[in-house]
Amino acid sequence: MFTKQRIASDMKRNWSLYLMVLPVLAFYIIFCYKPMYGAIIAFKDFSPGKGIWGSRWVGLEHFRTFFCGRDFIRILTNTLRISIANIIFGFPAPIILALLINEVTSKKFAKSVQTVTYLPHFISLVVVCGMIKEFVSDTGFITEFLAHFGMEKQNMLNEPDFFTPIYVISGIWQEVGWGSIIYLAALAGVDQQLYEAAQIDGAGRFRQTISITIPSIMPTIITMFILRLGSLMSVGYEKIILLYNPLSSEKAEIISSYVYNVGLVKAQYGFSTAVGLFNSVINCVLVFAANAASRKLNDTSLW
Amino acid sequence: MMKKKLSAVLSASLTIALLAGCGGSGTNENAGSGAAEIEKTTPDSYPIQTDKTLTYWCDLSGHVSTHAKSLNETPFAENLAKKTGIKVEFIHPAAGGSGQANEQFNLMIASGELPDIIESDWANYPGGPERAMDENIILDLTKVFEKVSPNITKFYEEHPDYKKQVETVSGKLYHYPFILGDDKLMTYIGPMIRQDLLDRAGMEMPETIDEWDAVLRKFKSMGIETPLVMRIDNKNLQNVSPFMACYKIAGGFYVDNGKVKYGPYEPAFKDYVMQLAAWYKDGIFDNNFMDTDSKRITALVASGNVGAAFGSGGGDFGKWIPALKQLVPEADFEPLKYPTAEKGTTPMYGQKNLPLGTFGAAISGTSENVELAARLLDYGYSEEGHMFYNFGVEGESYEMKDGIPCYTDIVTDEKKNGGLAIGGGIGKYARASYNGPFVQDVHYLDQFYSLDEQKAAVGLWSDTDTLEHKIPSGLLTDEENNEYTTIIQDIDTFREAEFYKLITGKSTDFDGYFSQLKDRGIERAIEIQQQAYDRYKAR
Repeated sequence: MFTKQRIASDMKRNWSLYLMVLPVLAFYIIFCYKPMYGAIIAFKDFSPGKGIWGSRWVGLEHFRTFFCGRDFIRILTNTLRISIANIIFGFPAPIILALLINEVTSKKFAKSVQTVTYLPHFISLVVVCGMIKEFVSDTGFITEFLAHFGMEKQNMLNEPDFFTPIYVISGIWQEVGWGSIIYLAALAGVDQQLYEAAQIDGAGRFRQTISITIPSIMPTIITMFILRLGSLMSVGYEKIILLYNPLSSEKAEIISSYVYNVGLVKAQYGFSTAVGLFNSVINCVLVFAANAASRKLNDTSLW
Repeated sequence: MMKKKLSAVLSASLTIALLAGCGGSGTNENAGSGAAEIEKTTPDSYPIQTDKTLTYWCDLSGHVSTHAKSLNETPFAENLAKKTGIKVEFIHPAAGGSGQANEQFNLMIASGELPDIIESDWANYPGGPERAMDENIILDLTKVFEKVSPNITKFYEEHPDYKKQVETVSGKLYHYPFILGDDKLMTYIGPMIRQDLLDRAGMEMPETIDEWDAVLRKFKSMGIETPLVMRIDNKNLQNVSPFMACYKIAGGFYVDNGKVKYGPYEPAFKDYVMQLAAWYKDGIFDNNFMDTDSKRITALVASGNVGAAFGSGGGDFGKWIPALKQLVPEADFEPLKYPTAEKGTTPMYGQKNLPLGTFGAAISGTSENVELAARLLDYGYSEEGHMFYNFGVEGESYEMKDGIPCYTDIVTDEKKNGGLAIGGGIGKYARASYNGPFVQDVHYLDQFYSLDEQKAAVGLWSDTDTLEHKIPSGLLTDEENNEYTTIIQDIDTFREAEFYKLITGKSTDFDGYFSQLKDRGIERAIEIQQQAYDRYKAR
């Protein structure tokens, strides 16, 4: 099918299309594939002065150090705890919001709710974290509020057990509106005749939501879920670094912040690359597994 | 879709690899090939005729960032080019506090694109200066000094003990160090207490821990919300070690009668932490002590709710005292000696720097302008360069009065220097108010400290036995450094978290703390330091 000739003639005919795809191709080669070459240093005792090839090979030593090290269990559980909490509470939140907005009859109200919930998404993460720090400091309004219910009045970020809730809840606040857009789009595509039929059969609004709305947007939900699982292990380090302190680090240090701390702050480049590589491999496996499971159970899959 | 996702995931988590991946180009094949060979081609006198521009990486001091985005914009840089004939392009790490300078330094090294000159604390390079030379990041300057740096060579001839302090284990010289030219310059951090509050309480200046405890508690009962403010993050604990002298320990590694010890592993450390914990619990010690942000502390002190504080004479008290007086005119911060173990004794430890150390300007291993870079850096140690780096240009930024260089009013006067504090004014024309490749002059200090409190502080704060206990940095061999760094990085992180937990009462498990330190190899780290120290003594 793809003989040389056919490709050549196709190129001639559609040269403008090929030209358009070129920058995209270049982008992936330069920014996604070329850097993978650097992953070699995960297997080397890398020193910048000697360069990638000049450094000594150490085989799997970095991986061994990581897996046998004191930090491994701690940061792995931290990553999983934060990530799973994020999926359990963070994933359904935009779906619920979308369903609620969908049920609102007043267009004006629905629009204003949407706008208000989008807004935090557009604030820079640094500013958001600055706000969170203020809100939960020992004189912050959230702390003051919770103190009425008997909580000790202290900087909540100093308490390791509060870190995950603060992280997840603030994450929902920040992204719920933005995340709901895709579901609202899916909801707009649901066939209105189904609702009419259901009404004739005597279904109430709740019943309609359960039996029509949710099954209709299920493919979207599944797709989003697979994508989300793919990043189960990669909680972004930026927010962690902006929020944590030595007191909360036992529950707040995750793989990506660890990679940053060990790699850039302590300059153990090879070791931190090994940790990052491990993280990527797990992520990759998770995407494949979730995709396969979903294809079996649901006939919905990414590929 | 799949490809996109996969590559996105991979690339996102391999940022480190990306940074390293770009590194191939600038590296030299002859890594670690030994001392640089060099022949002198430039004339003896300055300015030197050249059309080359050198690149120069250094941290941007707070005394410069208040009025310029880079040293390039300052009259200092302009005059330096005029005096030496060598044009310099300064490169600074992106702004963002001292914590990031180290990280940006690592990034610069990893990028492989090295400037001609790098100014840094070389103890921070993983593996120390010895390894940096080995990996051809910087040059072994021993030969360069002989051939094209007469001024620093002369200085070392006059001060052989200084040379001994900065030589690496294998006897190499690698940098043009920042040198403190006088005892008074070595101490700049210490305690001050509100004399007006002491008078109201009818109490004397405290000396021992018990007296301090009594005074601070009295302040608290007088309605002072936060009687004590001090920074005890890793850096300050090691360098300043506030109140630790009361327990005859220091915050990091130190020598006691020839024996190396690690303060946080000494049994007395428990008593020290328990005292801090008690102060924390009773609201005497700043309950947000973990946040060492200077703006926050300034606001706190200026509110009049602080009774005593540890801080630097210029950067901290220089700001705190005027700010406080605006709100509480009768407030009177007075310096006092470091807290000590027994009344009338000299405190064992406090902040006091050795006259020179691992901080300084080095020439990068990939520089093609070694001779010019050496001549530029050597200038700071000549008589003319000494005046220039400390005071700027005669007739412009300083004038000689009775044999003493005095800054002119375009430096000192806020109305003429653009509303700057004196440190910033000096920062426009010279580098005396922070650091650089030169010998700092004591006459700068008398003018830098404008308040009487600050002037009095120097003598009181420096009255400690610190130098008897201090270990020079950069004494380890490459191998020792490897092992030591691995151990101490792990311990530093652990110790800081645990230290904070013990103070805030979130943990009371001292036995667990000590045994964890042992598990993590602190005894091996002490052993390495001991070896290195013994070797240094035997030199």
